[in-house]
This record gives sequence, C-alpha cells and structure tokens, in this order.
Amino acid sequence: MSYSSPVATALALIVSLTPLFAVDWLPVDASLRALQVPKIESDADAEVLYWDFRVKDVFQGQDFWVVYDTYRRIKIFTDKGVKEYSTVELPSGPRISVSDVSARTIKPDGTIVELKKEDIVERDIVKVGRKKYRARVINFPGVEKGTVVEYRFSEVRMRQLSTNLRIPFQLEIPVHRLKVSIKPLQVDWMRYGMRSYAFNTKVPALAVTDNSGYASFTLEDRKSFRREPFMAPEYQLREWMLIFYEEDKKLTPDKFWKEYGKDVYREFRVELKTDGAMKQAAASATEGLTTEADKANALYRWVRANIRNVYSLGSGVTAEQRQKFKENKTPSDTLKQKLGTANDIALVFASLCLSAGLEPRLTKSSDRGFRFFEPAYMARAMAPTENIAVRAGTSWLFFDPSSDHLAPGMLSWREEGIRTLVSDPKEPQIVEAPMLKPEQSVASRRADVTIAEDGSATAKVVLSYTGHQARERRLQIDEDTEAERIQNETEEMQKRFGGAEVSGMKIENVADVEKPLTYSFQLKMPVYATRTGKRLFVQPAFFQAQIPARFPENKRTHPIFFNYAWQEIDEVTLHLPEGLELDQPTAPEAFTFGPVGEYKTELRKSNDGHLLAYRRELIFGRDGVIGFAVDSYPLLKRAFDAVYQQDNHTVTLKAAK
Amino acid sequence: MRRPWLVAFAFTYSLSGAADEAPGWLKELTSVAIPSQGPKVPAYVLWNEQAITVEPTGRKVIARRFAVKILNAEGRRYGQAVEGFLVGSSRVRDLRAWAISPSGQVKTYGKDAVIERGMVTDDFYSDVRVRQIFGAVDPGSTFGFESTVEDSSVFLQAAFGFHYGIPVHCSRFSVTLPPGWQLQATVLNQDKLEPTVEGATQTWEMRKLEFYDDEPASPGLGKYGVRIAVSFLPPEGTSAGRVVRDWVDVSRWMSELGDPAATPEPSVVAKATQLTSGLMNERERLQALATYAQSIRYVSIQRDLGRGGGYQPHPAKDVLAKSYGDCKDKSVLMRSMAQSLGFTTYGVSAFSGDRDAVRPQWASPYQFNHAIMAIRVADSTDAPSVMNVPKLGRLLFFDPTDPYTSFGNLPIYEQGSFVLIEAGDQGQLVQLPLAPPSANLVERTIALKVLPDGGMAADVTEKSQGYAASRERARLKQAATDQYRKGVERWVARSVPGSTITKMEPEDSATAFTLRLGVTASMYGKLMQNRLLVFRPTAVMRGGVSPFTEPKRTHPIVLNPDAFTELTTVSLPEGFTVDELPDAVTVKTAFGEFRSTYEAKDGTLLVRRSLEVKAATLPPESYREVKSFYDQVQGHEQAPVVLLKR
Repeated sequence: MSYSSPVATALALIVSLTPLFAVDWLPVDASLRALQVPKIESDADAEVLYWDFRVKDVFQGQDFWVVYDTYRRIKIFTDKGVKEYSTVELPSGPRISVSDVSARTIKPDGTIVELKKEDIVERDIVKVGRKKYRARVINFPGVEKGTVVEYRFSEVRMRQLSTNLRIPFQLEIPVHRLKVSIKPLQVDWMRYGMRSYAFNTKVPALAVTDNSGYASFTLEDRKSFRREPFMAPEYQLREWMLIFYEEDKKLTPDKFWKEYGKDVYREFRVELKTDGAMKQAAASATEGLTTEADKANALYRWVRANIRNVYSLGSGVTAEQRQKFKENKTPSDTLKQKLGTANDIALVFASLCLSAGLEPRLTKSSDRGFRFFEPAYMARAMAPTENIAVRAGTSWLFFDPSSDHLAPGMLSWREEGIRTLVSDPKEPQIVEAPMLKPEQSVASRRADVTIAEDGSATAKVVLSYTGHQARERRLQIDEDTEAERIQNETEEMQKRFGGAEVSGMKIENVADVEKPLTYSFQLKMPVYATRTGKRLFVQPAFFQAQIPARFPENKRTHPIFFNYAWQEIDEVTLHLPEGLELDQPTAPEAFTFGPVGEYKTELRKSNDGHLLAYRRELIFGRDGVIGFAVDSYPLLKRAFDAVYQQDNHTVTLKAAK
Repeated sequence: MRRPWLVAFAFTYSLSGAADEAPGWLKELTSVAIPSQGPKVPAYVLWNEQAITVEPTGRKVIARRFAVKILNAEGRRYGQAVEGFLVGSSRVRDLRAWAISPSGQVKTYGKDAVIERGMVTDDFYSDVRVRQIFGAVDPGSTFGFESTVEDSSVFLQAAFGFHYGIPVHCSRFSVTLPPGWQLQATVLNQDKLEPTVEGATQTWEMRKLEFYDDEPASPGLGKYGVRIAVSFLPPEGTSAGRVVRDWVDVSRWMSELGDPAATPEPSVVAKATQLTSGLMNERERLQALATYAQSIRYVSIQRDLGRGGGYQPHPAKDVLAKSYGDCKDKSVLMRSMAQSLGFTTYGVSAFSGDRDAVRPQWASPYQFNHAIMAIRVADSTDAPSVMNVPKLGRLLFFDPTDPYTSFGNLPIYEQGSFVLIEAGDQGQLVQLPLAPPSANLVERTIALKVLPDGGMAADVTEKSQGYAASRERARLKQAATDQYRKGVERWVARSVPGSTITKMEPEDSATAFTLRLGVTASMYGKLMQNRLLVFRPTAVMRGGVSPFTEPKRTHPIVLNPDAFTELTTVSLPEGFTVDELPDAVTVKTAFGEFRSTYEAKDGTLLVRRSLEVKAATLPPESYREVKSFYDQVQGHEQAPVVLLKR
C-alpha cells in the first residue's frame, strides 16, 4: 500500500464524501430585511438566524476520522455586533484540516457580496518543527448594522472519532434555528454504538430515518448563554448534548456504574505493586499506628513529603531535575526516583496503602467546574476525575495525593460534596465525597488598632487561613521566593487598606498544609476613622472597611453556587484616642441565614471607655448547603446586603466631658 | 555487506551522548558579580550586544549576543531567545541558545527547539514573524543566545536601546560600514555617548544600567531609556536602499505613498456628497465624514513590510467598498472624502501608545506605528485639536481609528506627541496640542432626597466631554447592553450599597456623552441611636483609590488634563437639622485645584465640588505635593454630613 500524507488523505476524504458542501445557501428573501430588531432577546448585538452543524464519523484507510460541517447565518443589530461578528477565525493544526470555506455578506438592501480570496486570510499561528498551527480568518466586507453574514466550512480531524463530543445548543447570542445532524460510524466489527444525552433541554432520540445515514433534529429559539459570578457549573446550566460511543448493554444506571466500577478496579489493581521496597517504606511510615485512618493519613503525609510532582511548578522541582526525569513504568520506579507525574503519585500512594494492609480504591467522579456527577447519565465521560479512597471501617476516606496543598482528608473544592463512584472488585458504590465544614475553612483575622484624634490609625495585624481559604492563597504564592511573597503581599495590603504604609510583613507555613497559613504585619493608615468638627466616627469592623456588598446586581438568571463552605472570625481591639468618649454606642445586629449559617457580632467597651473589643463571626454553608435556586436570589441578596450594612456599623466618639 | 547507515547511527549516538557545551563568551559571563537586587527584580541582563555589518548592496547582517541571569520565578520569562523578521525581506539565518543551571549543567537548544510564529499584534495578518526558543530555566540559571539575521528591508537605518527595564551589566552596539559609506548617529535621552572607533567599526557601550521600577503615572521607557539611532549613508550615486537624512526626506517618501491613494474616485465623491447632504456648516460637514470614517471596521493586514508596504494605504475607493481597513486606510478614506468636497488634507504619521516615543532628533519612518490625518480648516472651526502650522495653515488633526474620540479631539495618548505632517517638501514634524482641562470636563448635577430612615432617591445627570467622553463611549460600546448596565450598577453600588438603578439613559452626541440615572437605596445614610443621621453627600464617586500610595517616588509624574464640576442639591428629611457640615476646602497647587463648599438653607443642602488638573510632567521631588493633593480630593469624598433629629 503506498503511503499518503495525512493531509492529502484528509482532502481526498472530503472530496470523496462531500463533493459539494452538504448544505446549500439559504434563500435571500424579504424575511431578512423584515427583521429590524432582535427577535429573541431585545438587547442582543446579533442573532444567529440559522445554524447547521453536522458530524460524521468515518473509518477509511486504516484510521478513524471525524468530519464537522458548519453553516451559520448571523444578523447583526448593533455596533458591537459589527465588531464581534464581522470576522471569523477557523483554526487548524496537526491532524486538523479546514477546507471548503465560503462566506458572503447580505447587505440591508438585499445585495449579496461573495467573499473574494483576499477576504480570507490564511496565517501561521505557530510552527514547531514540522507541525503547523494555522488559522483562516474570514473578513466580511461591507458589514454594518442590519447586515447578514453567513459562512460555511468543513473540518476534518484525523485519527479521532466524535466520542465524548459536547455539542452546545446555546451560544453567546440567541439562535433562531439550529439543525444538528449526526452520522455515526457504521462498521460491522465495532461493537460500540453511538449514544447521546441532551442536557437542560429535550431532543428527539437519535434515529436514522433515510438513506443519508444521518440522524437529525431541529431546535428553535435558543436564548443566549451568559455567565454570572457565583454561578453553578456551566454545563449544569447550558443546553448541550453529549455524543459518545459505548456498548449499549441495556443496563440500569445502578448496574452500569457497578460494572464500570469493577472494570476500573481491575485495571487499577494491576498497576499497584507491593514489593519489598514498597512494604518497607509502608512499614516505616506507619510504625506504631493501628487504625486504618491513622495509617492512611500517615502514608499520605509520607508521600507528600517524599515524592514530588515533576510537572508542578510549585513543587520545587528544578528544570534540571525535570530534564533528567525518566518515565516511571511502575510505582516502584516512582518510589525509587522520588519524582513522578500526578498519576504516578496516586499509584505509589495506593501501593503503599495496599502494602500496609489497607484497601485502596480508585474513585471516579466529576468536576464541579464542569458539571455534577449524575449516575442517570450512563457515560464514562461524565466521571472523568480520579482520586483514591481508603476503607476505614464502614466508610471511606478520600485522598488526592498528587494535587498541591491538600491536607489529609481534603479534596479540591471542585471534587468535594459530589457523588463519587468508588471502584471495587465486587461491590462498587456511589457515595458522596466529603466536604470541608465551614469550621475547616476559616479566615481568622486579628487587629490591634490605635486610633489618633485625627482619624488616622496604626495597627498590628495577623491573618490566618485554613482549609480552602489557605489552599487558594498557597496556590497563588507557591512559585514565588520568600522575598517575592513579602513584596507582593505588602503591595496587596497597601491597596486593600486604602494606601496605608505596610511594614514587617511575615508569611508563615506556606509549605506546611497542616498548619494555618499566616500573615502578620503592621499598618500605618492616614485615614481610618472619619473626623468631623465635633465627632469621630469609627467602623469597628476593621477588616470589612471598603469591602463592597457581595451581590450588587438586582437581577439574576442562573442559580447561585459558592465554591465551598467557609467561616470568618474577626477580633479587633480598638484603642480610642484620649480626650474622646463614646457617644451612646450600639452594637451591630446579629442574624442567621436559616440553617445555612449565621452572622454574629459582639461589641464591648472597657470600664474606662478607652478600649473597644469587637468580634465578628460569619459562618456560611452548614450541612454542605452552598447552592441556591435562582428564586432564592432576592433573599440571598438581602441577607448579604444586611451583612454589609452591619459590617458598616459605626460608633460615634465625641469630646469627653 | 557494508552498512554505512549503521556506522552513521553509531557516530550520531556517541555525539549525543557527549555533554552539552556553552560558548566561551557565555561561560565567562557566569562569573560576573551581580550587585544585590531587591525582590522586584526578576532577572539581570549580563550581556546585550548587537553588531550590524552593512554590505555594499545595503543588506544588513545583524549579529546578536544576549545573556541573562534569572533571579526569581518571575524572571523565568526572560529565559527565551526571540528574533523577529519580515517575510520577504529578512531572515533569521541562525539562532542557538544555552541554559546553564546553578550547578553548571549546560543544555543546548538548536534548530529542533525553534518555534516560528506570527508576532502577537492586532493584525489579522502580518509579515512580521518571530523565531523563538523557550529555555527551561530556574532561578539561579543563566540563559544566553546568539543569532544572525540578514535584513534587506528598504531603509538604511537602525536603532538600539541600551536599557531593558531590568538591570544591565553591559549593553553594546556596533556598526561596520563598507568603504565610502558614512554613519549618522543620534543619541536619544542622553546628551552624549561617544563611540570607540576601530577601523570601519564604531562601538557604543553602556554598563551597569539600573532597574526601571514602574510607578503609576510614569513616563514610558521611551522617554527614559537611552537609545542610539543610526542612518547609513552610501556614497553618492549608489542605489543601495532608501536614504533618510531629515524629516523632509521622510515626508516626501510618505507623501509619494499616501497621496495617490487619497485621490477622490467617483464612488468616494458620491459617498461624501450623500453624507453631507443638506449640511452647510464646515464643522458639521467634516463631522459627518468623520463619523463615517470612524465606523469603518479596523482590520489590519500587513504585507510587504520590508519594502515599505506597511506605510502604503489601500486606495480610498477600495476601503469604501470593503468597509474595513487599517489606520492608514481609514485616514486615506477620510482624506479622500474631504478632498472631494474641496478641503486640503494631509496624511500624518504618529506613534500610538506613548506620547514620548517620537524623538525629533532622529528623522526616520521607523519611529511611527500609526497613521492619522489633518485637514485645513477655516478660522470659524475651532476645536482642541486645531493648531497653526507654518506654511500649511490652520490644521485640524483627527484620528479615525479611534472610534470613541469625537472629531475635534485627539486620543489622550496622542496629545502632546510629535507627529510628521506628510506634505512633500513642506512636510514637518510638529507637536500636537494638549487639550486644556476644560476640554475634558465632566459636569455632574445630582438632585438627591434623603429619607428619615437613611434611604435616598436621586436623579444624576453626568455630561462628559473630550477624553472623558471617549472613556464613557468606550464603556458603552464595548460592553453588551446588559453588561453595561451591570457595570453602572457596580459603579453606583461602590458609593451607595444596595442601590437600585431605576432609570438609565445614555446619550451620545458628536460633542458630549451624557448619562442620566435614577437611583434609589435604603442604606444610604446611617441612622444612629435614632437621633443622628449621617450620610456622605458625595452620592456618586468617580475615581477609585488614588494611585499614589507609595511613600517615595523615583520617576517623574505625568498628569493628564482633567476637570470636573459637581452640584448636588440635597433635600433634607423632615424633622432633622444640620448638626455638622464638612469644612469648605480649597486646595491649590501649580498643577491643579480642588474646591468643595457646603451650604445649608431651608431644608436644602447645596454641595459644590470642582477639580481641575493641568497636563504636566512633574519631577519626582514634587511627589509629596501631588500625593497630598490627591489624598485630600479622595478624603473629601468620604466627608460626612451629620443631621440631628429635632
């Protein structure tokens, strides 16, 4: 068989399978001109009038290929729409080829302008050795408000199938009509068929009804998808479809995941090693410990202290060590080299557990940045993330030994609190991964503040963080040197405290995840309390000054989700200036967020009236409740506005008698 | 049977088994003693050398050597070798790099490590490309590279910057000319720098250059860093490239390229006539053309740069037909339309982004990266961007690429910069006018009603002109409608938390941008002990925290012209009297003035504030005064009014 280049084969494939572009241009008629304003959303900059998307999987030569055909017709309504939609970029690269690009502009008066060659610019984005990443850029000529632009192209991806493809039904602008056509692979020897799930909308079951081999359906009037802060995972909200190839054994979800859990365990178990070196290391790390939990935690600490992630920039691995790194074939190699990939580290931890007589299991789940794991959707692609669970009595302890800055028993917030498949040779289970309680992710802040008569102040400050609050910060600073951290944090505090002078910055326990991450420093603030002619107004909530309300917007489209449950504890001692006394001080009010949390404050003065002690505690996310339906938004906003109001509580000082 | 491929393989294998070796010049540099640097300094340049050899044909061979010591994690980004070239007129003949680890281990980067890519710019396509090697370096490593570039581009000029922003141990630039050639060298940002001469080679060198610590409102490196700019002058009668001796030379060349493209063709004439139909006033007619030129979409496709293609606009009729083009295309379209109505126009070369970048001492098209235009106007047409130019008359300067700056104004970063008017033999370099503060005025009127429980309702009208209007226009046009609204909500919520916007009406006209808002809030004032009502009469803050937070200053301070006036009429709640008002304030300095007055009468409080800042570049010694000025302005936004319940 003669050799042909992948590109040539791809082009031949397109020519043979799609002699003309599969979709003709839609007619240009009065309906285009009649649409003077957006139809679906009145403030849309543009709307997609028609979007045709085709997917075809092919087996040709000795390889798989997937062909995507796209056609879009977009009407532009605003100047911003002109800027955003008058160019289209179509990237291609190794094993991705783009062809059959055609485009045209339809002016408001109905005139059609077909694009010339010079309106489609091809450029190399990057060339690495012989690999080229290119883009074709379509510049539509004569675009103004009221113009329709349309384009179509084919994309061929070599040595791939469309398995685990996510097809969005919503874009950043509304869509009037979307037609999706899918032609699954049809080869006799393949036992996997194409399956699909639709999310947040209903679509008909995929069925090929004619000789074309395509299964098609049409959707109408799709709203745009717009992101908001504190939002549920995007793919939990967006309308989209997953297509994938899997053998359809007609199982129930329970049986499907059990079977999958057994397969996962089988493959996982084969990779574990319990040789002499592994047993010795395990014995040494767990010496004197008896319970499963203690042993597992000790082994976790041992792996963290002794095995480094070769690709993590925060791990302290040097470029030289990275260059010398040899691929680990087994966990024993990783143990010897003391360096490995994330997967290597997970396997060595599991091997140590097994060597210590524990029962480690690989777990599968989802990522809260993508979507929650819902077993009803029987697709392996819905559970892409992995961790290690270790049996402790009748429950499971979860570990992620390869991600940075996680204390024993802690997972990344993205993997907390969601259903998780624990693999097993006999009885895989779906359990809920644990979540840190608010008391385990604490921001504890102390300030000793001396206020001068003119409203300026000096303060000694200590900030302390645990759990996710600590981890977020550690991830930001772990690559920096100590001097850089001090410099950056000093600048950050200067901005935070309105241009104050910051000195004596110390940062402790950056590397020790089992101790609070702590910052201590001194402040000299030119303005803290507000001085008028007769009075001095003091905001005791020192750490909340200048912090805006959390939810400034009045309307909300999507449900609200916080990343994790948390707690804030502030203790402020205020030394009041001589010659002034408190004028009928009152304390801020406390309230609860129902069962989800509470806001508590205490304000006490010393007998001589020169000292005020203020304590503030905010707890949110009890019982793992960190997600709220969109209907709850007004209440949630009101609650956080109330926090803001109480944080801005002020006491008045006046001249002493 | 002989197996020569097996022998070759073994030979190659034994070579690759040998240790990497860095060149002698780089190894020597690893022993340079680096003075102690603060944590802000990411890297230290050990060697920065460029040597240009000009061949008799005018082709330039440019050899570079560069070495840097990485000091911290942030410095890793300096561990790369980058060489740019222009497709069709230059090429990177050679690029090699080495990384020496703290332990002395050497890693060599050859052809396999080279990435080629387009330069990251706003262009959709550009002939400018780079070849790059990324070194895997850690703090303590030394990274160095050598390169050779052959350049046959049209101009016989070059420039070299000695400064790098980070500290430099040694920066060196040399030129070797063929016999009979002469060199014209200009030192920028320093009075003198004498070369050493050895045969046909002249060398300039600077050592121990300090770290440039960026501070807010500083001049750019263009004003600070020492540069040398050279022109190569071949013997008379030699056609080795384009010779540039003075600004008239540049003007002539640019006019040759640009003027023909501005010739009005019938389609352009028709368009200009249609746009100005019914308009008699000169300003209104030009405004109509300007609005259209600004609406043409910006698309930059840069080809043939090495032969001056980057300076040549497309014919105006083509720009009109396509409705897109780059800065010179939009300028040429505006010129052509204006010319078709009988106006005299000129192309103008400018630098966008740093008003101090263009130095009058060195005549070169290389100093410009942007095209605008100028129109001769009558005395009756007045605007901040009008100035009298000797021999050319009263010219109004306009930048059609900026969609947010209205006709008659210039983007703030172009004001005060040097530009070249392309007028053939009469072309000249001029300094564009800096608009006075009053041309950038923000006028705000607020009618505010305070309720007895601390709530409020307010109508806010804010009218912006000049640069201030450009900023507002950009906010409106760059955001989707709901995002713009959310931005306004966030802005108001900064000073009035928990507020609701009941009305939002932006209005954009040729000369001003007006925003009308209705605001209500329940948490505006604080009612304390049920007898004191405290509120801030500054209902809407404009700026954020003053940028001048550091106690000390190294660089000059650049202030842009700024002005605002505000009148707030506060209806006080029934049953309360005014117990305390902030003191009236006047802060007057050479560069700016801030005033604030309060007047309470018959249940109404009148608060007047005004700020005016002149354009100025102040020495670092003035920093304390500048900081104090802005601290006082900011402090006054927080000053409260105290009402007492009767």
